[in-house]
Amino acid sequence: METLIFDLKKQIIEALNLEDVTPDDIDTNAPLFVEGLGLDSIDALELIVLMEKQYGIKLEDPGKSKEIFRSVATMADYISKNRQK
Amino acid sequence: MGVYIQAAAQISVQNPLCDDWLDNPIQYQVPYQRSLEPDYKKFLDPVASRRMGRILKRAIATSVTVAGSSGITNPDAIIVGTGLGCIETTEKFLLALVQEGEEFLQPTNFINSTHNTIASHIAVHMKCNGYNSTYVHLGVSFESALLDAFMQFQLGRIHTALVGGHDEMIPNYFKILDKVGFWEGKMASECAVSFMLGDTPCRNPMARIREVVMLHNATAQREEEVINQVCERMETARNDWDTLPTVKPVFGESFTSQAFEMYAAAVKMQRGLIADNILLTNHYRGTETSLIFLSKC
Repeated sequence: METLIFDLKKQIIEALNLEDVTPDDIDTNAPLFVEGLGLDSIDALELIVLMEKQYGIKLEDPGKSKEIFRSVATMADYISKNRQK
Repeated sequence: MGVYIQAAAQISVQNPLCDDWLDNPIQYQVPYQRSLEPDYKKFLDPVASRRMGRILKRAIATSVTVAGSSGITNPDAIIVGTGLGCIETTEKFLLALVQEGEEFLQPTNFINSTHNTIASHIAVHMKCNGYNSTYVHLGVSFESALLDAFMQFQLGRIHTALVGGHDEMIPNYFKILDKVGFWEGKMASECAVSFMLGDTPCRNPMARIREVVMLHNATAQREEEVINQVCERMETARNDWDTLPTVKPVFGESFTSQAFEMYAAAVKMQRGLIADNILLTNHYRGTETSLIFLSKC
């Protein structure tokens, strides 16, 4: 799980072009949106693309997005249970 | 009615956001050179800038600079001319489209790949809700934007306008244009020039724009006729108007290089380094002609 979390942080930094942010700067349990990294709705779309591209996960139920993208920890948990690649 | 250049700023192959090029131009011996970037953190916070390509950052930095120099922070109009728009972001989006089999397309690259992203980002950043327009006419894009502003000043619809010429050049597009001989031995470069215009001169305006004319398929004779007509209308003689050597050896060639010509003329005119009346001409691909008449204030 630690490796997945580290890789995921790197992928988020790259996908969202978070200049001057390193994986160590991202609190695994902090909220990704509004607080924490302060991401917004366009970032949410980028994260959906990231999940599909890197892990083969297609989010079918938009209602679950809020919980899945709550933090890096919740994203990693969902990926570990649902990844296709 | 007068139209005055209240402030101008550039980001180019020369030192950015200053006039160092006038006394100490950086010399290049390369066919293609990208612009020298300023520290964008002075203009944009990292959260705002992370979705922006270079052309957007440059447009905002030059716009904010002229807004600061002129004191006009909320212009009535924002008008941009660009030959290629956000070509770097467009390339990223199209490459992903090809490489990923039309899947996994990043929304940011899609959103920012349109030409009018530049003017709209400036407007969002400066919180300007007024007239906002973009002209995409290859080598006369900048002049098209300028002509729009000039006519709106004449009609009294606007009193201030932010007009810019913005283009970036990516390696792949440089190579394609190079293959068809587009550059004609000139150094390919990028352009980011913003002008703040107003109908009332500020304390130290750079120059006055007397007239802007665009002609299509005009012969040399027709062009001269038009110049004479403009001179007559302004009650000046034809030989009152000087021309300047091009600044392309300093700033390079791009689709909006005429913005550099106007910028350089305005800087020199403000410092009294050139004649009081200057006619800037641009002949693009033998079909499009633009004439900009500048006078000392």
